[in-house]
Amino acid sequence: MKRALFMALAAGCVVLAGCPDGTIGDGSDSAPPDPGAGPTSPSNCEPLSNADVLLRLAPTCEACHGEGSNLPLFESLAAFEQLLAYDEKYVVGGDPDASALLDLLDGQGAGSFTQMPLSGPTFAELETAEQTAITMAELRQWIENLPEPGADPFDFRNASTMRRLRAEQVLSSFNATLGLSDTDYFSSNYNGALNDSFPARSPDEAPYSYNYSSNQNQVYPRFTALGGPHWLEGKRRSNDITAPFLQTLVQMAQVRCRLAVKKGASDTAIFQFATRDMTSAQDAAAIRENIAYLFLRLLADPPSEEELDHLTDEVFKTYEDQGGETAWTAVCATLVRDPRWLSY
Amino acid sequence: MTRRLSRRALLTGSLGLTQMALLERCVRSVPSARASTNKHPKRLVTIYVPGGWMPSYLWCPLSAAQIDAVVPTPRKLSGETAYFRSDWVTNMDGSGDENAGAAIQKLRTAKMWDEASLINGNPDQGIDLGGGSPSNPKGWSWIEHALWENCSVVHGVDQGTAAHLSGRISAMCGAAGAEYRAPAIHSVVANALFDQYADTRPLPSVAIGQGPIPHIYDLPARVAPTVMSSVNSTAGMLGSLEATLSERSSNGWTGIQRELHEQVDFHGDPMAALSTTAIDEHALRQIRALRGGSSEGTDAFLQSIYDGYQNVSSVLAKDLVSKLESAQGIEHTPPPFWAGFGAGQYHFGTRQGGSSPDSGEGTWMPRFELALRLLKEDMCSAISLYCPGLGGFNFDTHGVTPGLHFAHVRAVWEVIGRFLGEMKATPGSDGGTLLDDTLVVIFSEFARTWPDAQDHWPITSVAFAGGGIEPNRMIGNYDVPPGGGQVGYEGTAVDLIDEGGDPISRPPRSADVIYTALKIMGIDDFFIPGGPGEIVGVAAAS
Repeated sequence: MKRALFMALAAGCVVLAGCPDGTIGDGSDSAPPDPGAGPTSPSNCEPLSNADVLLRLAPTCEACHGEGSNLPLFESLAAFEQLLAYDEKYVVGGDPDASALLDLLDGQGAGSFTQMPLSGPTFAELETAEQTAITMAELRQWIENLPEPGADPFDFRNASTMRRLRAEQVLSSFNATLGLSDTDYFSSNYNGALNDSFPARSPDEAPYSYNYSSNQNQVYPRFTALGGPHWLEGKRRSNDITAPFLQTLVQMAQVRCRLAVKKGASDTAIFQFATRDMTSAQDAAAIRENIAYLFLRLLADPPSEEELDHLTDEVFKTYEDQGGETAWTAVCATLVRDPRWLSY
Repeated sequence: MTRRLSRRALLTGSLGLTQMALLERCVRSVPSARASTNKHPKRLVTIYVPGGWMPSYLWCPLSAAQIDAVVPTPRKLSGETAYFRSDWVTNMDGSGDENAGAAIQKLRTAKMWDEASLINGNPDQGIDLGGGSPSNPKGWSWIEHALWENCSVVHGVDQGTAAHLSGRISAMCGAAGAEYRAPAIHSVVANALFDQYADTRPLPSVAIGQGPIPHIYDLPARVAPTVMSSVNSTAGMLGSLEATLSERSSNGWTGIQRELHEQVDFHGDPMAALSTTAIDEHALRQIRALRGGSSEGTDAFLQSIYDGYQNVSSVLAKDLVSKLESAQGIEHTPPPFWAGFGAGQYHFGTRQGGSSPDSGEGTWMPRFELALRLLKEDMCSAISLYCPGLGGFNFDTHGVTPGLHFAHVRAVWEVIGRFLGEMKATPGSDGGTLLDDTLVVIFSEFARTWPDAQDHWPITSVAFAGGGIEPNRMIGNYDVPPGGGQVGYEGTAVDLIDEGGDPISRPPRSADVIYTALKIMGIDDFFIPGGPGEIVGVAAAS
């Protein structure tokens, strides 16, 4: 377990090592620490920051106090500071003896809960068994020298500026950008693939006007594969880029684009400047203009000439001999799969 | 020179802004693939019996006096015997009562079948077991395939809850709760084996049927399960896959062809050629064009899509559905006694409807067929298999019909035995069998109260089958006092080795089950809240 805890801390980390005065080593000249190896020399130490403490408490506490929990102390640094570090109910800066956090970790809590973790050995007992990544002494020192709020600013410059659409947004974006509505999925002119004969829906949603009772199994797998929650099963939302998400998106892009294109002229979301069966030999300019329109409609950004050339020559024309329906489906699906369509 | 994104950057690409700065300093580790050794199973299958079952009706750890105290007198339910007498319970392996009552017993069950007929390949003749109770062949598959050689059971496991959802979560990850607080065991296994099988297993984690969906919690998105929930018929089985893993949909893919194209990675460096569509090629090109336009985190986000699209295209090009279509699920074992049963001709819960022997809507269900095909084609590292009773029977019986639960759960047990039997008869690696290469864990969210499974009870049993285990053992028991008298009983203490390596003794918990299973898989890098331990005696002695 000792190893497991430190695996959780080691990857890509500032190397942390205990110091006798409650500071940490910077690890600049040392191997990754062994928690049983004793403190590093004071000359290699700096004060414990809130983030340092968060990271070293997390392996013990995060499972119950992580994202979405009742007291999500470890959801972010802000949460850790607001809900714990600067809440005097738990931590009194400069006064470890008055800080209930330490009492709880030591099994001496005076409130509803007398210890943390809630059951099994206390934190202090875990420390004795070398199963914690921070010691009670270090926590005392941290509280003794609690940094001023805001003393530990972070650099957000490397954060991603893009987030993918949620499952619900994916579904509504398909309909909005491709000019579809739920009734289209039931069209007698459209014999959809098994799992796309019905609109995708959250499994938690009550059946509505369509008879979902016998088709429930068909409507929600795509929703959950897109990362949608399934609260009845305790499955939280996921906005990660997962294999099931992309597998599902790719399939839905093909089927839904085909559906929109099949509607032909009646789907003005797809066809503004060209018709479905127009060929590039007949009117290359109209086709190019319609591709530019679709690009702008789906990606909210006008295409460069190079992008337009590529979509026209490498996508539309590649499939044109299979018919206009396939060629426009391919252009549409290509745009849906662009990160700018599936993110914001 | 191309600047590479670190694994850290890749992982942080899709995380929240508030987390980003923290993660700049430290990313939760991604356990790397371990070096597998032959003694560990190569994959995991869980079989989930929904609703809360009564495992003591199957593998019975109780003494004769305890059975007399809590198991109802045998009765007939639509002509079929439900419940059992203590003198029908014996060791599965034919050794009578050897080791009965010991701390570790052999697998014991109520043998309620006409063994003399069945062993000669004849139907159960409905002989009188005593007191006018006709024999009942359900469970015979465990004898037919000598599954005591491949299975052990831990009794008295505390799930920490008697609520359905919380119990399912407890069974899946080892910590009861309204939400997951640790990854499901499937995710842990798929993640640990990911690198080792990255090129050969296109679907690291699969959930078949409408059971609980294995949660990845904080593990990489790459092990998110592929959910195949619409598996209610053979056509549905493949149809469900067609909709996600193939280009068979005529409405989606007609006219869209693939060609071999040279590939570059996200950074533009050459990599192996892939068979892709023009749609793939343009989408990948567009993503590369966006690279470097914003932050490192944005590039990580874009790369996750880029790598993902290449992976999806690769999976589609492999045409897994055709492979599964041509694969054989059942091929080594003869039809079971219930193979000929049709609609209206069944003992409770054991039936195969439909026109072909292995399809239809009986308890066998195409789910088992699909699982066998996935296993035989070695497509997955972890499978979560949903196993309801006949017609989707949920085991959440509340005592309306005495004996109903017994009838159904013995039927499911019978078909699970057939599933394991086919795995056992299928050649595996190193001269072993497919079953030897696989760890199978069979569980429900909790057990039920005596005498008639009429309510939820948090203390249950979990079966381990397959490779890496010490077979023919029942570890732990239920603390039934003389005369019984209660609706439910606590588990007895078992020996464990805690996380720190120290021996302890206490009743087992769901966390111990997950912990033990992962140890059997040879996986060390994981975290389960609550201080689990390894249940001594389950894993094969090294």
